[in-house]
Formats: sequence, C-alpha cells, structure tokens
Amino acid sequence: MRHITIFIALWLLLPVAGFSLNVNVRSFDYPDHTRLVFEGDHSFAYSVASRDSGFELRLQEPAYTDPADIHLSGGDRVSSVQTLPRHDGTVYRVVTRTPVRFRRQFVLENPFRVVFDLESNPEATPAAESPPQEDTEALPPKPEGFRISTVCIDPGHGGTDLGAKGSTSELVEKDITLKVGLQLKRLIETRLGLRVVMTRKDDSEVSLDSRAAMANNQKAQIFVSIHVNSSYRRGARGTETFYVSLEATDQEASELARKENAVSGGDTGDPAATDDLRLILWNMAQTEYIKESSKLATYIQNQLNEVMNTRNRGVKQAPFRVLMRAAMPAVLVEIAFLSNPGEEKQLARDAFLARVAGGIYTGIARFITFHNQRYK
Amino acid sequence: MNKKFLYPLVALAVIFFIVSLVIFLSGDKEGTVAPGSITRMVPDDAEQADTVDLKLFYMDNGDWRLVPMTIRVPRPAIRAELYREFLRLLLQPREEQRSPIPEGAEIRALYYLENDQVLVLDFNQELVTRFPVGSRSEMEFIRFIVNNVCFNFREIRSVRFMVAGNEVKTLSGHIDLSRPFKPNFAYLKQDE
Repeated sequence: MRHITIFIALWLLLPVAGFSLNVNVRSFDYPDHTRLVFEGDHSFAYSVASRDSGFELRLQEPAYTDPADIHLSGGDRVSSVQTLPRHDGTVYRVVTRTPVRFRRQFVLENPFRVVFDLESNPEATPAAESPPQEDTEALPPKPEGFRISTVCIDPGHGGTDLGAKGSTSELVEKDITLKVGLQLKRLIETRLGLRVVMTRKDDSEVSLDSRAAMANNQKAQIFVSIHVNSSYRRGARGTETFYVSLEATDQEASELARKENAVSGGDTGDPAATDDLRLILWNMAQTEYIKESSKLATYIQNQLNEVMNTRNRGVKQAPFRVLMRAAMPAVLVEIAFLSNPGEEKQLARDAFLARVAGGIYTGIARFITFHNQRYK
Repeated sequence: MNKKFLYPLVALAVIFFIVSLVIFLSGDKEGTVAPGSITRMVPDDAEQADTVDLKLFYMDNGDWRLVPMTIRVPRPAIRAELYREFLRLLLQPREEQRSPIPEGAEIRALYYLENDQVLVLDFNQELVTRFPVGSRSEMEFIRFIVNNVCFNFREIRSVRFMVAGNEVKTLSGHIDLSRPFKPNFAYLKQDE
C-alpha cells in the first residue's frame, strides 16, 4: 500500500518536479555580518545587480521557491527576499533594512549554494524611498577577501583550566598547547608572512565561546585549536585531527575524509574515522565551511603523521564546541595522549613539541597554497 | 507550451514513470537487516513477560567496541522506571567491567520527551567536577551512555545531557553538550 501511495505521489508531483529549479533561501546573523544563502537543487547560472535598498540575484532559468522555504533570521540587515518571475528567468530581490555591502560572495557545491556575506555600509546614504532601478549595473562577484591573510591559533585550556594531566608527571595540557601554539605563531609569521591571532598568549583563561568569537571578530580565515588528549583507555595513543561533524547532511565531506584517511593510513577499523559522535545539529557558523575544514584537517594530519613517530588516528569528526562557532575553516588537533605513559614522556620534550609545531605549520601552508590557487 | 520545454518534459515523464514503477514493483523491504548491522534490543517485544532482558555494553581493553552483557530484571509497571533501573545498572561500578563514568556521578532526574523521542539525563555536579579532562574521555562517556540507552529502548532516538538541573556547554572543554546525541551502533560489539 505504501508503494502505491509513493507511485501516485510521484505522478502528482511530476508537473512541479519536471519544470524548474527549486531554490531554498535562508539567512544567519552574526555580530558583524549577515550570511544569505540561496540553495538550489541543482546548479544555476546567475548574475548580481545592486539596488539602493539591497540587491538582486538574477537567475537565467525559471526557479521555484515555496514561501515556506524562505527562512530569514529576522536580523537588522535583511528585511525580505522576494521571488519575481521574469520572461527570461527568475529574480530574487533582497531588500535590506540598512545599506549593506558585500563582504564576500562565493559558491559551494553539493548542494549547490550561492552565499553572500553582507555587512553594513556606513558610507552609503540610505535611500529606502528610491524607486526600483531595474537596469543598474551588475556587480562583479568579487572573491576578494578570500585569500588567506590571517590565521587564528587557539592553544587549548589555560588559567585554572589545566586540561588533561599527566599520569606519571606534573605535565598539564594547557602548558603544552601554549608552547606549540607560540612556536606555530612564529613559524607562520616568519615563513608565510601572515597575520596570526592568538586566543591566548599566556596562561590566561579564555572561555570556549570567546575563542571562536575572537577569530570571527579578527576576520581570521583559518582556525586551528591545539589540544592534548586523554582517555579512559590507558593504551590509547596517537594523533588525530578533528573537524565538526554535520551528521549525514554533508556526505561528500565525510566521504572525502574517509578516503583520505585510507590514503594517509589512518585507523580503518574504527568507525570513528568518519563519524565519531552523531550530534543533532542545527545551523551553526561552521556549516558553510565543512568541506574546507575537512581539507585543512587532512593536510595537517598528513603532515603530523610524517613528522611524528606516533600512531596516526586519522581525520575525524566530532561536535567540538570551540569549532562550531567559527565562521571559517576550523580544525582541532589532538597532538598525543597524556594518559599514555609513553606519549607523556614525548610530550615533555621540547624537540617533540617543535616537530609538532612544524607539522601543523606545513599542513597549514599546504592548505593555504591549495586554497589560494583555487580562489585566485 | 513552448516546444523547447515539451520534449524534455516528455523525457522526464518517461523517466519518472520507470523510476516509480521500479519502486512499486520492488516490494516491501521492511524488516530486512543490512549485512553486518546489529539487531537492536527491543525490551517491549515481550510486553507480557514478568521480566525483561537488558543488554549493557561496557568498555573493553582489547576492543574499540563496547562489549555486551545481558541482565534480566523484573519488568516495572512504568516504562520510566525501566529507564531508571537500566541507568542505575549501567552506572553501577563493576569490578569486572570498565566504565567511563566518573566516581560519584549519578543521575538526579531523567525526562523522556515523547514528541522529540529524546531522553534527557540530568546528572549531579560530580559528573563535571570529577571528569577526567580530555576530548577522548568525553567522547567515550557520551558514546557509552547514548549507545547503551538507544540500543535498549527503541523509542529513544537521542539523548541529551544536563548537569545539576542546568544545561552545560561541555564536560571538560571539548564536546558541545547543548544538543541531543544520536547513537552509532557500530561501536557495539555483537554477541559471538
């Protein structure tokens, strides 16, 4: 009976499904910008035209958007998105409450999304009363700002939050992560000439949410959180690099990580290789960067695997709070296990920590090369 | 209608017809279990019985999966009592089994949100104050509770954690606890 229903439903849906592109529109508000996403059920060609009170996304084919599929966050930038059918396509008119400008615009695949980051434009004069201008000059989609110039390094824990503790020594995680973080900062500044933002430069206590906020406010384009692991299993050892899990909504990213784990010799017997914890996720800042984050994690994990003589646990996913709010490619590196007596000894050696910093640095450098070539 | 659209539409209609026909003819596949998948414990299958078998999974040194142990308990009149009894058994220290529950950690209250199929577990403060810091420890704890609960009670689809009546951000600075967790039964070892 169930299949008869599906059969009939498919036929009833045919007139809608066969015709047009379906587009879903949503926005998210951040303190300094609003992200507006147009998601199509397949890719589409488009142009962008400015308007006094917003802008228009012009599609060169008929598109359908159910009003129920427009989810606006209700912030103080985007007021409404109207769908206007045209003889030669479809126009999505974005009306803003205040003058805005594009901080950046980019396209993501699987599913196909056109993403706009809009920020307030204090230089523009408000012109809400102006009549619509249908033939304004199209704005070139500028990918500027996407070249990586700022990296945020987050040494885990700090202050009264010691982090993991050594099982046979006085070693604590917060000191190790700070040492590695400061060495990594020097490497990135001197060799790559990039700006580095540290979430902490000393033994200060910084909340988890402030760390991602710092990276967002400083407009960092990469976020790397450094940690040392600990487990109930004394035998647990090795290095692993995490990016945020996104359940099954981004299969390709998971698949990418799985394949690359296999290539880099990561744990293949452990299902954690692709999906460590299945948190039910809603929208989060990291959503748009999952694929980039998985790539960054892979570069770093591969390098760490080369320079460290520890077990390669591979690239994994888990809902780390510090990563979820980062609006940029973001990863968390677990250098080794303080709960493992053998690795605890290694973590006490400065030479080992220098190797770790070098490995993370090379991973970041390779990711930047890949990224900048892609977006130049 | 414009001919430009007519031909692709006819082609799409044919494809749709074939696809829907294949679905129609494929028959009812419910009840089949994928090879290698684990069969869930369903205590309410024998609703009339006086006892119920619960399967508790513990950590094992030699295996990355949680290993099972079956316990038979009297069937309580109220379902929530069965949850409570199951969790009491799960959190109880056992000499022969390893558990990722910090000493002194107990459940203060539990709530089953039927509409969302979420079990909310409210632990005492000891869960956080005595938690051994480390992301892997946090994952082991969450995986232990969520997989055990969801495996034994099929109506529970996810588990959410609270501490001392409040929402907490993390257990020790890593995994976000603000939302419910779903199980991954790949971590459960099947009976030999």
